[in-house]
Formats: sequence, structure tokens, C-alpha cells
Amino acid sequence: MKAGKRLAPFALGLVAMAHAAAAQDLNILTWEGYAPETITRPFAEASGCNITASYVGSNDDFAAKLAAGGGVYDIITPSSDTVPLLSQAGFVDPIDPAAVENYAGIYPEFSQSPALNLDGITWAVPLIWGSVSLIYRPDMVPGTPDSIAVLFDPAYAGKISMWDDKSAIYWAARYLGYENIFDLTDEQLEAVKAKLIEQKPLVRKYWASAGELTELMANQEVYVSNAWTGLTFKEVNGLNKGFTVAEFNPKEKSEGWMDSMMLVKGTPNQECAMKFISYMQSAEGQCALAASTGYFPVNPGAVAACMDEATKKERQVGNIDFVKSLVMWQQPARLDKYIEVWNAVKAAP
Amino acid sequence: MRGKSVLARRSALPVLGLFALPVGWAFLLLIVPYGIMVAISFWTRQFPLFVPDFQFGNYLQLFSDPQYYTVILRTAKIAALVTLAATCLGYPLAYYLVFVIKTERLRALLYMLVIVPLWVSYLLRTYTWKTILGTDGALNSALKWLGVIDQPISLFLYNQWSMVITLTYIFIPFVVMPVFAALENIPRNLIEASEDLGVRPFGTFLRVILPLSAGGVISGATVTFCLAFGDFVAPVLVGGPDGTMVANLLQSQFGAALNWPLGSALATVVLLIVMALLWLSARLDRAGRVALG
Amino acid sequence: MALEGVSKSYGAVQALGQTDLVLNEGEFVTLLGPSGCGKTTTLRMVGGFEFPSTGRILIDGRDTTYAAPFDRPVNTVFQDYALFPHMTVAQNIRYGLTVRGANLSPAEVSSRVEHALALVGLSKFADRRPAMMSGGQRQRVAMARAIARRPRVLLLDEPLSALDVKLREGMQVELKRIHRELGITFLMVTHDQGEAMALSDRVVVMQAGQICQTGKPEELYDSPANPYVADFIGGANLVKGVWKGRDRGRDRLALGQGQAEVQREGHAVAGLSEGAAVLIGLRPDNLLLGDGPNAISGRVLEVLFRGDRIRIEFTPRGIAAPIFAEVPRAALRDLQNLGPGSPVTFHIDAADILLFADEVAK
Ligand SMILES: Nc1ncnc2c1ncn2[C@@H]1O[C@H](COP(=O)(O)OP(=O)(O)O)[C@@H](O)[C@H]1O
Ligand SMILES: [Mg+2]
Repeated sequence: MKAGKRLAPFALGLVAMAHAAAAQDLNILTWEGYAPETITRPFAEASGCNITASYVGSNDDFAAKLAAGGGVYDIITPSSDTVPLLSQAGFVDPIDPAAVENYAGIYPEFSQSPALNLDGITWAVPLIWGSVSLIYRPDMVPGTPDSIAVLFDPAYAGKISMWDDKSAIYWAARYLGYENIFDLTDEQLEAVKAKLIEQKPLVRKYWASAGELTELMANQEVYVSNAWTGLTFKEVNGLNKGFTVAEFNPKEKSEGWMDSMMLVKGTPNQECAMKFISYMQSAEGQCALAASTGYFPVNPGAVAACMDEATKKERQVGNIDFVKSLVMWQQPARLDKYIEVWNAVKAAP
Repeated sequence: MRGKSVLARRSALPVLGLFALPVGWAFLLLIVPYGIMVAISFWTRQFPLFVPDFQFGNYLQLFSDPQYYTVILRTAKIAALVTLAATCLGYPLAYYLVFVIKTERLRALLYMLVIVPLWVSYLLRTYTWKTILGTDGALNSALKWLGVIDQPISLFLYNQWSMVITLTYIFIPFVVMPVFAALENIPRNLIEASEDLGVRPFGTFLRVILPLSAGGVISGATVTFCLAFGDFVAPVLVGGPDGTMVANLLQSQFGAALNWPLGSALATVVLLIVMALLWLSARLDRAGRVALG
Repeated sequence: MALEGVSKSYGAVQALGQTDLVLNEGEFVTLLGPSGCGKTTTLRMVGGFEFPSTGRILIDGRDTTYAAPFDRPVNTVFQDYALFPHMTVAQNIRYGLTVRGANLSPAEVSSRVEHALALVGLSKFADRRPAMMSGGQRQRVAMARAIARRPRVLLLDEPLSALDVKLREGMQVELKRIHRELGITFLMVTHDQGEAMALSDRVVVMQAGQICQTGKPEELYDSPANPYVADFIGGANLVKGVWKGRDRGRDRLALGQGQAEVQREGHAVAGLSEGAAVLIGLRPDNLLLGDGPNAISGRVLEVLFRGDRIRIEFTPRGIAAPIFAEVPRAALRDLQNLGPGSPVTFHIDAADILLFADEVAK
């Protein structure tokens, strides 16, 4: 998700293949913005491992890239809703939590989540988290919107955007009042599909990256969209375009996500990989990543000293109740079906 | 006799060696991957993996599920529109360069200007159209400044028309080049002969110039159609919600959807369509060539 | 058809100087001259592909100087035929008959195509493509296509130059026959004097964008207007000489250093005074072996076998340049061992000596 903040205006998924790993190298397949110099340099000094990062455009890219020939990457950082699929497909090795420094400091709601732990085996270690809410142009949308309905309102025909992702199904399902959005029945999926196809004429463009949404907003192409909380609205307002955008959490709830680190099966650089996983639970790692991305740390203990109070509040540090106000992403029971529905929506005229 | 055959054998070896490399290369990097692709198209998907198999379910799905064949048809429609537009614009341009421009240097200069965009990144050129056609774009600003409109028109961007416009712009040089060559190859005295026989310039164009440049038109149109058919950038950059084309579908089958068997089946169908087109084009061209001698 | 004071310049290059020319109905006129002398330019102006810099072009009394090619009652047989490669022979011929201005019924069109094909003897090839035909056949198609339009004037630019010698002679006969059968005015361009002489009613000899002389082939041969025409038509040995005066209708001439003296019969050349430098033209054909009046002796340089004729190159006494003579083979029978170095004597009939004022010497 939250791919390239201001980089590629779209995600082609054309990522330079990292060269074959040498002894002291660590190859990470991750999101743009997740391997800044503020992490790679101190980590290299501390561990002697050089990070080479490759990037994905969506959670679905991880499995696709590993299927196309693993062995190139050592660590991947999918969201928790994709973690089960990857272990199920046999692309990853389990991780021993005891070998991860500072593991105990992670919110147990995350580290002990069933998505990351299967039959008593730990497959992933939390990295960072955040939410997806709605943004809009107050000068163009009268009143104070409080519902997902704004995404389906013909009043904004041609001025609506949505993330080009299967999560569009989650939004439509919540709008339709379904509770079990990760395990919809066939009828419910049909209704969701119909709703999304009905919405298509209102949609100007499905955005593929955060950078593209920022551009769509800044160029006045769209007035409402779902967006990475905290990111897009700050970027757009920072451009001083003569208008502002605002964020809100709809009454049907916003979405929450949490990215985790996983160990690619049979990695020859296991030692470096484990060092990296531990490093990312340290104060340096958590604060650097939170600063680089604008998202929320998963290890409140670690950031206690390296974050000021205002930032802590903004980044929901210690406010695990915030998670309860969100619909946390889970792997859909029938992931393939969901992807097919989303593709069918996009293919529809 | 003996000596001769020894000689022949001796010289055959280096020749074989000379060709072994490119032939082996072509085999390894072209034929083998196609073979693998076709093989996988018969496999079965067991999400998130696929297992070797031999069944036609994937092809069946392509032709029964509207989400696949509508995209193929849409892609064909857009590619056809692009081909038509690029030909209709590129031909007069080539004609102008060959027959209207009188000085050789000006002609060479203008030809370069037509071709030079090919040196500029394809992405950049597509992206440029976004800034021209957008709500805050150059076109809307110009129309507003001229007083033609007072509210920006959003119809210019993020729909199939913007894709057609962008792709047309991109592919015009691919039409101009072969048509230019074809027109330049028409002996000038054929045009004089036509006028000498009482046929006016427009009749001469229809009856002599057009048929004799048909080969250039065919190759330009074929290249344009095939490239437009396989394009995946324009839908992403300037296409709207209804802009998905075959290449995007392929990308998602091999990516997000993790359905290589279906993706391979789709790729095989696309390959067959393109090959059929090239075959047709070659046939048409050959027919024309035979006619010309 | 007439050219009145027509000239053509391409920038600083004058391709054709002021030219007047009148073609009579049904006449076969040939523009003859070396390459680059302005023949094609003239023809193209008549065809409408170039416009004259000055002057007028009249066809049937109508001023067509600036008319477009498709508005003129003339048709051209192009040098390299310019057949439409994408059409069959019949389609090529039909091409000019189905235009709006032609006003022909389909039946008329067919009959004209058939007639034109029959005229050039290609009836069997109606459905062939030009690419499948020989050069001679293409030449005929080009002819057929042009004449099917029944032009007032048929223009032919070096129509036979692309054919090999044997074919060319056959086509000359064909051309002559077609001209006779059609009765159309022909204006042909060639650099081949033999072709011009053989085919034309009238030949226009050109040099460097100017007409040198116009006349029937035999007039040009018998009384060339200048040494250039004399040499170009039939060929001539041009020898510098001195005019010694004229009595009883004969010019007395000294060749070279006065070693050879000849008497010339014929018209007086105006403006000559005694001792004036002149050019004397001796056609190789007219030099007769053996002693006689107007004899020239010398030594043989070379003997060249030419089939029924023998070409002898010799250095006459007192004349710097060698002279060529062509004699029938029979005349040489008695002189079996004539070879380089042998003494030889030629004579020439007084009436056959050509005389020109030597412009250069003045
Ligand atoms: N289009 C042209 N531009 C410039 N000069 C030309 C052109 N056409 C002919 N000439 C010149 O005019 C002269 C006569 O040419 P042309 O009529 O073709 O000669 P010919 O047919 O007797 O060989 C030549 O010196 C030629 O170079
Ligand atoms: Mg010429």
C-alpha cells in the first residue's frame, strides 16, 4: 500500500531485480519509503549488512514476485492480510520470536494476531501500521460528510476517486451494511460488484499510488477519495494550491493495516535478516521509519524516547483503542474470488 | 571430388558456428518462453499456486466470462481507432513532406521533427498529454482564456478518447515513416503520366498515388495496431475507470490475481491475434508487391 | 502546333533560348541534339510539365502556354515508359479514356483499348502486368496508352533509347507505320541522328539550347547550315582551309598548307574575301578511292573493317588532323595489302565538298 509517496505517478510493478545476494547483503522487497538512508546507513554500520531494496506497488505483488522466482529476496514486508497467503503458499520460513530483540515491546494486539501466528508458529513480526480514511475538498463538498456514501454520491460525478485495489470491495461492502466484509457470500459479492460497477461512471480515476492521488487532488481532477490517513492530505495542503483538503473517519469506520516482516524461504542471509528484524524493533528503527513514512510505530516502548509528545499523539502511540475504531485488514477467506471480483469491476465497461 | 567435399565440410563448420549463436539465442529467448507460456495456459490454478495439467478451462473462461472478452474487444476497438486516426493524420503529413515541400533540406528537417519524439521517453510523452488534457491542463486553460468556456471541461481526460488521442500522437511517426518511404519511391513520371492522360490531381491521387503507397499504409497501420493493442501505459496514465486494456489484464493475472494459467491463456490468445494480423498484413503486402512487380 | 519565342531558364541556367517552331498537321518532327541541349525541356513545355519563361505555345490556335497537362490535347510517351505498375496493360490503356473530359461510352472505351492494342500488336497481352513484359513490349504499351487518347500531338521522349540495337531498328519501323496509320502529328526527341533521319519528315537540330537548323533529313545532310550540323548529321571531316576565290561557279580552296587544292561546286558562301579562313567538310562516304579531281593523298593510319564498308583513317599530306573515309568493300578488292603506312589517294566530287566560314578563326 502507501506506495511511493511522491515518486512514480503510477505503479507499473516494474521493479529492478536485485542482483544475487552476496555474503553480507540483505535484499528487501518492500514499499517505497520503507528503506530510507536513515535506516540503511545506521543499520549497515551496526550490523555490517548492506541493504538492497526493491519495491512493490501492492500487497498482491509479493506473491507474484516470489512466484516468479524466489531466492532473490531475504525479507518481504506485506500487510497482515497478506501474511497467511504467503505462508500458505510456502514462500516463507517461520521466525523464532525469541530471537527478535524488543519483541515483547510490540503491541500484543499486533504481535499475537492470528494472522501472524498459525498453529503456534510465528510467521511475521510487525513493522508499522496506519489507517485508510476518506479525504475531501470542503469547498466543494457542502456540509460535513460522515459516511462512505460520499464516494457513491452522484452529486460528485466525475470527481470521485478510489484506490485501485481489492479493498474497494471492503468499502462498498461496508457502505452496503455488510458486517463480514472479509467473508462475503456469493450474493453479497454480486451486490458489491453491482454497486461498484454502478459507481464507475462517477469515478474519474482509480488511483494506483499515493503520488497519483496527490496529483489528482492537486490538479482538481477529484474532490473525494479514500486515502492513506495523514499522508495525502498533508501532501496536498503542503502544495498551497489555493484550496485545502480534509480527512474524516466515516461512520461505517475507516480501515486499518499493519505491515509485517517475513523471512523468505531458504534465505542464505538469515543472520542479516534476523539482525534487521531486531533493528526495526529498536528506537532507531521504529522512529526512523515512522518519520520517513508518517505512519504509526508498532513498538510503543521503542519510540518512547525518540518521539516528542505531539508526534506521539498524532501517531496514536499507546492509543491501541484507536485500532478498535478501525476495520483492520484481514485476508479475505476467498482472496482469489475477491481479486477476481475487483478485476471484473475494472474490466466492466 | 574428395578434395572438394573436404573443403566444403571445412567451410561449413565456421558458418554453422556463425549461425549457431543467433539461432540458439532466438531459440532460448523466444521459442522456449513461448512454449512454456502455451504449456502453462493448460495448467490448473490452485490458489495461490498452479499445478501442471492439460485442460481447456482457462480458454473457456476467457470466452465465457465477459470480464475477459469485453476487454479484448475494447482493446481491439481502441487499437482500431488509434490506427485509423494515426493513418488519417500520418498519411497527409507524409504526403505533405514528400509532394508539397519543395526543398530537400526543409523536407529532411520536418521529417526529423516528426521522428524526433521517438527519442523522447514514451512515458514522458504520455504524461505530457495528461498535463494538456487535464481539468487544470493547458487545453482547458487556453479555452478559458479564449472565453470559449468558463468552467473547465473534464471530458478531455481519463476516458477512452484521451487514450485514443494519446496513442494516436505516439504512433503517428510509425505511420509517417513507412508511408513517407512508399511515397518517395513512387516515380514522379507516373504522376506526370497520369496528368498527361487527362486525370486531375485528385484522381491521380486516388488512382495512382494511393494504390502505390498502400504497402506503406499497410505496414504503418499494422505496426500501429499491434503496438496500440499491447499498450498498457496509456490506460494507466490517461485512461479512466473504463480504460482497462488487455495488457493491463495480463499484468494483473501475472501479478495481483496470481493466475498464471489464465494469464498464459490470455497471452496466447493475444499472440494468436497479433500473428494473424501480421500474416494478413504480409499477405496484403505481398499481393500488392506482386501487382507492382 | 507552334512555339512562339519560347525560352526556359532554371535560375541562371538557360535550358532553352528563344525558339520558334511550327509543326504541320500530321507531320513527324524530331528534335535532335546531344544530351543537355534542351530537347526534353522543350517537350515538357509542350506537354505542360514545365512553363516557359517567355513566349507562347499554341495548339490548334489555342494558347496553351500555361494549361495544365490534363487540359491539353497532347499525350506523351515517356522515356522510361511510366507505365502504372499496379494495372494491367489494358487498364493502363483504359486509364486515360475513362476520365470525365473524355466522354466515351463503355463500348467506345473498350473498342479504343482493343484498337490501340491491335495497333501495337499486343492484343494477347491485355491482362499482363507491365512487370511481366520486356522493354520492347512496355514501349508499345506506352505508345498504345498515349495514342488511345487520340491526341492532336504525340510527344515522344527518346522513345527507343532504352532498347537494344536490334529491337530499336524493329521499333523504328513500327513507329513509322503507326505514324502513317494514325496521321497524328508526332514530336519526337532523340540524340540518335540515324533514328531522326530514318523516321522524321523534318528534323530540328539543336545545340546548347538553340535551334541550329530545321529541315528535311536530306536537306540537312546535303546542305548543313554549319560545321556542327554537318558533323552531327552523317558525320564530316572538318579541315581548315583557305578560300582562294571563285570562278565559273566554283570555289577554289587550299587545304592545310596549300599542299592540296580542291575546286568546290555549289552555292557561294556569303562574305568571303580572298585568303579567308574556311572550314571544309568532307563526308567520309563521299571520299572515293583513287586519283581524280580534288585528290588528297596521304598515308594510311588504320584500316577498320565494318562489314560491307571499310573505314580508312589516313594523314593527308600537309594537313595536321587525320581524315576518315568510308569505302565500299568492293572498292578495296584491288588493294589487297592496304595497311598502316601504305600510300593512299582519295578524290571527291566537287559538288560534295561542304564549305563554311571559319567562325573561330575570325
Ligand atoms: N529542373 C531543372 N533544373 C535545373 N536545370 C535543369 C532542369 N531540367 C533541365 N535542366 C538543364 O537544362 C538543360 C537542358 O536539359 P534537357 O532539356 O533535359 O536536355 P536534353 O533533353 O536535351 O538532354 C541542361 O543543362 C539541364 O541541366
Ligand atoms: Mg532528355
